[in-house]
Amino acid sequence: MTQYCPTFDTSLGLRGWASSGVSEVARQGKLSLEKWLGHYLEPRLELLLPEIENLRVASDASQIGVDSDTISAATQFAYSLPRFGPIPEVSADPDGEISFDWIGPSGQMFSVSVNKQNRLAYAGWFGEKSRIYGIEQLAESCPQQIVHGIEKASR
Amino acid sequence: MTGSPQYSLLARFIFQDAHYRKKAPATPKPGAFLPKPSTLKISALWRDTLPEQEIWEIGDSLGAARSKQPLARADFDVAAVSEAKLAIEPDPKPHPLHVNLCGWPIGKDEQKAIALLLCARSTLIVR
Repeated sequence: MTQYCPTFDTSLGLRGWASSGVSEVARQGKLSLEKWLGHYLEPRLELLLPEIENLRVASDASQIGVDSDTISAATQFAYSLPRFGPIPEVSADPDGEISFDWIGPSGQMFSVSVNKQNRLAYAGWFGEKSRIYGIEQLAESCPQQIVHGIEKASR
Repeated sequence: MTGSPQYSLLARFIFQDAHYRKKAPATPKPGAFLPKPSTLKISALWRDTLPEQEIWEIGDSLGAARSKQPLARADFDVAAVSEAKLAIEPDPKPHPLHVNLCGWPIGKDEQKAIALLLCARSTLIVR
């Protein structure tokens, strides 16, 4: 029996696959699955990644210094984002960090700032009695607190 | 100081397109309120007694230093400043009604939480 057992994560990208399949059939299955997923996921990244890259140019005009390391960290964060929900709006913070903002239909907001040390500072406003903030570190998969924040802001 | 007895309405000018959302729900974004790390304060204007046109003219004069005109502004009540535990410091040099909102925490996550509070309490006015 041939089995392909990928470990699904919530990420937007296709990195971090772990497979126990070793046969040619399993490898072909893996390639097919990646191709299929890529068909659906790439458009999200195609929208988001140029916006991040554009902040380097935009920051010159606005006199906010966004450096290459921050662009790189923000790109890595974009790859780790969940596949569901709206695509965030990106902008440069006054301190040169890159902010990813999700604004829900009723005004709920969730915002994550990425700096060049791969630190993720997040805060959410989901109503008068539902607010969060905290710090996480950039990792291959999106931290759970951030996934929850995006979910709550997208409702 | 948390306010001025004769004023209660504030405006924060927004000079960057990416710092506010035009489509519904139109709102300032947190980046519009975050302070620079070097100063840990943001600029605002008492707008109680001012007609619309004069508010924008003052915004233009405040933006002249960086050769920019405000694209929008966030209007909010002084109560939001108290709620955010920020202090209001008069700074009449650029304009008699100009103030700085001070007392920002150092932690970026805490700053963002305050910025989101101010977003939630603000009305976006696009020029």
